[in-house]
Amino acid sequence: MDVPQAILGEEINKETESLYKKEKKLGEGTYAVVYLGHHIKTKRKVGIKKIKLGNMRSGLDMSAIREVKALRELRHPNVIELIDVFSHKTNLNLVLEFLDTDLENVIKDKSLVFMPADIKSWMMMALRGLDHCHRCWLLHRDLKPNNFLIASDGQLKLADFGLAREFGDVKRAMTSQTVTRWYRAPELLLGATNYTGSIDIWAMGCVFAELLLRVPYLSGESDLEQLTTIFKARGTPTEDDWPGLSKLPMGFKFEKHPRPAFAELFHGASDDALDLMNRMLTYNPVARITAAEALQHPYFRNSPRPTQPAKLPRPKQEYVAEEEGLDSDGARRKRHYNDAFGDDVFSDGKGDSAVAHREGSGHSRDQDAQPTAKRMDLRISSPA
Amino acid sequence: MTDKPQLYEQASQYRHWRFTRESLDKLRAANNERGIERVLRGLREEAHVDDDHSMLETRVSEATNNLLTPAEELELIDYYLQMIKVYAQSYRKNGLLKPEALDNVKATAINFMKRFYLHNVVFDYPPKSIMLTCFYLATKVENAFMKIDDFVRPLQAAETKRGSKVQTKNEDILELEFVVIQSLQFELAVHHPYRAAYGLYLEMQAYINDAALLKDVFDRSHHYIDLSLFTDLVFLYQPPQIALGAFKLAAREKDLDIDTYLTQRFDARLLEMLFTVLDDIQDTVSAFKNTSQKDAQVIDRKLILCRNPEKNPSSKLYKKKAAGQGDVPYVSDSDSD
Ligand SMILES: Nc1ncnc2c1ncn2[C@@H]1O[C@H](COP(=O)(O)OP(=O)(O)O)[C@@H](O)[C@H]1O
Repeated sequence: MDVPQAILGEEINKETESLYKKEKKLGEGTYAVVYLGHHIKTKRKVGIKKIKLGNMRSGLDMSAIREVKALRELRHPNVIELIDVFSHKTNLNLVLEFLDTDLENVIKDKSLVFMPADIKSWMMMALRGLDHCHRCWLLHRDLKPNNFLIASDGQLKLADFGLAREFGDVKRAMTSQTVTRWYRAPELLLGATNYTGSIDIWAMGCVFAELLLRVPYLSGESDLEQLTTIFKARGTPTEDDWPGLSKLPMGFKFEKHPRPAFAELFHGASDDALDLMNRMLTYNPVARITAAEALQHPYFRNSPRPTQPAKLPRPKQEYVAEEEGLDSDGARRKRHYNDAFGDDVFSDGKGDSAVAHREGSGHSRDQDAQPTAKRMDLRISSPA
Repeated sequence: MTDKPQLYEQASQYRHWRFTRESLDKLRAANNERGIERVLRGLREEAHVDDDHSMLETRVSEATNNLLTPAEELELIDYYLQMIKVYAQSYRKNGLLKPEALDNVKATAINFMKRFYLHNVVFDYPPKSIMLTCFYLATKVENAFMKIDDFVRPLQAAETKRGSKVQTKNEDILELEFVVIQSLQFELAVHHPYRAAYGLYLEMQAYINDAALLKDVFDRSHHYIDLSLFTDLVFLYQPPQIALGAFKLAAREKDLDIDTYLTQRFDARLLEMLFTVLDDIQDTVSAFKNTSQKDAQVIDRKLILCRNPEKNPSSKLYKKKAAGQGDVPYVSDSDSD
């Protein structure tokens, strides 16, 4: 072991700060401003998230504490890397790996065509990142498409750990006011204060559905309406589906909605994809699939193999602006190719053409290219 | 079970806060030496503030005669570590700290303070105020947040009752938050032996028949874990090892044989290594003694004379430097940096 050096906390902090140069503002979130920056020596591009502590009467706020606490402990290719932390006066600066875009941008870019193998690849990376968090006894508690950031090599990374906390201690109550509404698990909506990784899985199931539909799956307009939206889409649960339901703080009686046939709404999806999604959106939190189990689901073993991250569709500002009318094959060709990726779980790219996937899965290009509005209609009309 | 050791090795506690006894001694001695240099430099600088050098020699000799050794620094820190335990109890009594959060908040606060003084000395930051900031930060880290006003109110009430001249203010605690978190290197997740002890208890049930006695031993092990937090064991061993050491102490006291369990559970070679570790843990915990209030007062009085004025808010030097910086308000929204 090295002989530790007598270095003051303040000195370490100054030295860390001196390693980075802030360039320009990239964006602004609810509690932080994010800057583009670089590591001066290596020129590595970084994102510097400066946490605003304005109006924080009680000092460092809980989101900042949670984010720093969680990210300092997590190291995984599918979790955003917290490279360094420093403070400047009363600002906290998180030096994060630079990530180009996020899954929400990808989903919203209607010029991009998703192949089943692409969706499988994103789901696999997301679940791997989540599984790592859960193994470390950490709940994310705010999974949604714009918290999955995407690196230039296509790797998807869980980000935004401002609500993350550890779990596993059954005695301790946790707030049910967490997770952005559309991705919030039914037990949270019913006021559960004792929950586990299953709430993250529900959110992941919603993201899975959104990747298939290209619009949010369960978009309620209020907390109460959210439950109704879920029940209409998935059928009202009974005590049989979900033992203990009636004992939840708000587990009162709801209007009975029958369980609709999902296949119609997700007509492009394969059976194994639907099966996994349904297991992620199972009402009973105890019966809901875990991240580790989900990764073992046949969906990930069956063909098509997940697309290599570098070959996944990604929004291209220039081409969106200039070549709006491009057909989907053209869009495919415009993809950025990068063969550096060597993970053999992902497709080697040989069968990566749109045609090969279409034939393999019955996923037609017409369905892919279907405008959002039409899908929306389907979504609204299908539950009786 | 298979990925557990690997995951723990990723933890910041394992990567950055592991030492040997020798390296801890060296580190503390080096900190102390550099700290003393800063005190003397600060005193000389202060004499320049209003160009009054008349007192310099007296001040320097006063400081030099009262400098704390690394051992005295530790004694003083230990005294205030005990106060964390006392405060934790009173926050629990007034309902601000839920009983189920108590162990973790207390243990994390103690750990933060111990880590803080591996990157600082008491000449710069006296332990009393650092203790409060570590405590407040620990409530946030352990999901037991309370508003700063709620945190400070009982402190002020106690001060009034004691007839104390000084009143703790919100800023006293918040102004040190950044110094503390910097010194912790922004690593806030701390693993304690409590959870490991519970795991051991569950596992031992399969090996030990006397369930009532085992429960008794488990309950008692909590006391020894509490004690272990004040020692350097947190920097030397992993939480499950400390938990097992605490179990052994409790078992010895209650006359329960757990060595049979250990020999069944671990192979001989591993066990030999483990026993060395456990002996050290038991000896260290048994040998632990609090610093008495009297001893702490003596050291505290010496400290008044050997503080580094650069970091002392009531010194001329500090005030001048603060004025020079245009008095940066604590809450800053500016985007200027
Ligand atoms: N690691 C990063 N690399 C590049 N850009 C980032 C990074 N993190 C965040 N951003 C950008 O900064 C914006 C604000 O980030 P954040 O505060 O995390 O958002 P929010 O509060 O909306 O979740 C994001 O929308 C994104 O454009």
